[in-house]
Amino acid sequence: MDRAERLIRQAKPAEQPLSSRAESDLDNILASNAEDTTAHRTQLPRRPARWIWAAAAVAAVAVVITSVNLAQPGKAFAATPPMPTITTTGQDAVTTLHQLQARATAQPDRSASTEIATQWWALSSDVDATGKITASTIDPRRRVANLGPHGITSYTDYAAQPYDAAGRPADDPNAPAPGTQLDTVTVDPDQQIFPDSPPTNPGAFGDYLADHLPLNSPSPTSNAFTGIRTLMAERILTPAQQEAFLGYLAGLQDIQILGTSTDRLGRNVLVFAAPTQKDTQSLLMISPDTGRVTATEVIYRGTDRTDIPTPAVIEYTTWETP
Amino acid sequence: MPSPGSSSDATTSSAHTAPEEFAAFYRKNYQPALNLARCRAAGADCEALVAEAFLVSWQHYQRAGNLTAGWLYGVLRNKIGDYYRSARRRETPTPDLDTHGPITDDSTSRSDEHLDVLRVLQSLPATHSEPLILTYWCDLTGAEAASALGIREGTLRVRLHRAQRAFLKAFDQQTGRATTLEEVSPWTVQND
Repeated sequence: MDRAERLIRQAKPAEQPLSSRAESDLDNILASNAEDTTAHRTQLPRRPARWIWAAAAVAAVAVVITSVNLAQPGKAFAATPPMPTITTTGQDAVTTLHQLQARATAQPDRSASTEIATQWWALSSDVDATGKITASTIDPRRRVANLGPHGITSYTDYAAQPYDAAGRPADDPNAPAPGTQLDTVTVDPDQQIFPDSPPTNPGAFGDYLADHLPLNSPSPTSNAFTGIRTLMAERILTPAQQEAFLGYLAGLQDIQILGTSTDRLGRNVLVFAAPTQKDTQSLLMISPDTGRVTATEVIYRGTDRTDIPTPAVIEYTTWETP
Repeated sequence: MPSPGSSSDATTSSAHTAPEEFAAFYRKNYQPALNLARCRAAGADCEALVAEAFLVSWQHYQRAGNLTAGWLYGVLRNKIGDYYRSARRRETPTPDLDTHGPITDDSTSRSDEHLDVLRVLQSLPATHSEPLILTYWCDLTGAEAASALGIREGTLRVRLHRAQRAFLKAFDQQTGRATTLEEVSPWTVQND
């Protein structure tokens, strides 16, 4: 059970017998005529709102805090992966995306492959009882997803080599050895987010993403980046589908190109960005050679967090074979 | 007399009459529905909102013979939406927007951690709080919760994981703790 689920379930108000008001409401409802809604509503008493949160057992919830006995004092910030170094190109996003479309269509079709391998990371902090950060290595993960004819069927996560904030290999005594199998999850067909194939028409791509994964960011580009990351976790796009996605991106008003960089696997990429929303900014990295998405990253740009610097990389996903 | 609905929530015994079956459905779902209303519309007369949602469910049951938890909670969500729209029309402040006020309990004191959970749930946007409450407090199945929210089950799964992460972030900010990697579902990280 996840920590969030455990916390919420433990805080669930305890079951109580129906109050006299609830019993009265039930009687009134059962006595009502189905065709006479207005008349019945007058029978439901309106009373001042009040809290009757049911008695809950006060269970002491052990907050799991990993204590690490380090000789060094607590660190000011948790380690986060190095920020991507980006060189501006002077190109505009739309022109560049149209150029990438042409490259994407010239690539071989890998969509029949039965595996998607990615490397990913999310913020990891070990803190002591006072809230001080005591460990700050980065423990990345490698995920291998197995694909059937209609997309993902399962995935397995493996431990990867920890590294420090400068990107150097690090020795984390608490981290599992690289290559250790951590988790295997079966994805049933009804659990797929994208059970049907993406379109090959740029005009249909936005609806396809939104229909399968409704998102509420005010930024269409941010939603598109989240959508493609989720889609590419389940499916390998054909060249035509990749071209359609790029065409869809080219039509978005708020997409920006930041420049060139290298992704976490050292590949040259073009970096596109969504506007910063709620202190975070989503990046999409695309190979200038193949027009295929190689990575996504999320950058924290706020000022109210004390556990990480700003800006800081708080998520990334890199496709080993885009 | 309508036949019982298809949902297991709707039936207690094939020998029961419609009022008996509805009463059983009411008793089973009343408290979870009240929990949802109190979390989403704390300043409202939540018992009245819940009663109205059950009334609509009863009418629907009498007409169509269907009685499902997903449908009930969908109606309740609409009632909560009506409450907000009505509050805006009256140009009166909606008290439930004050998420930092104390959450009182008439009958007993709750642990600080439980109160923190309640405050965080109230502070989250509905897109996050509703999947969490419907799943963990109302104990709806994935299909029922998805029905209540009007979304696909697969989408619910993604929303639930996103909500878990948002909850933990807010909870840890409130309690001054950092979220660790192990506490974030790996599925969430790649699939939100």
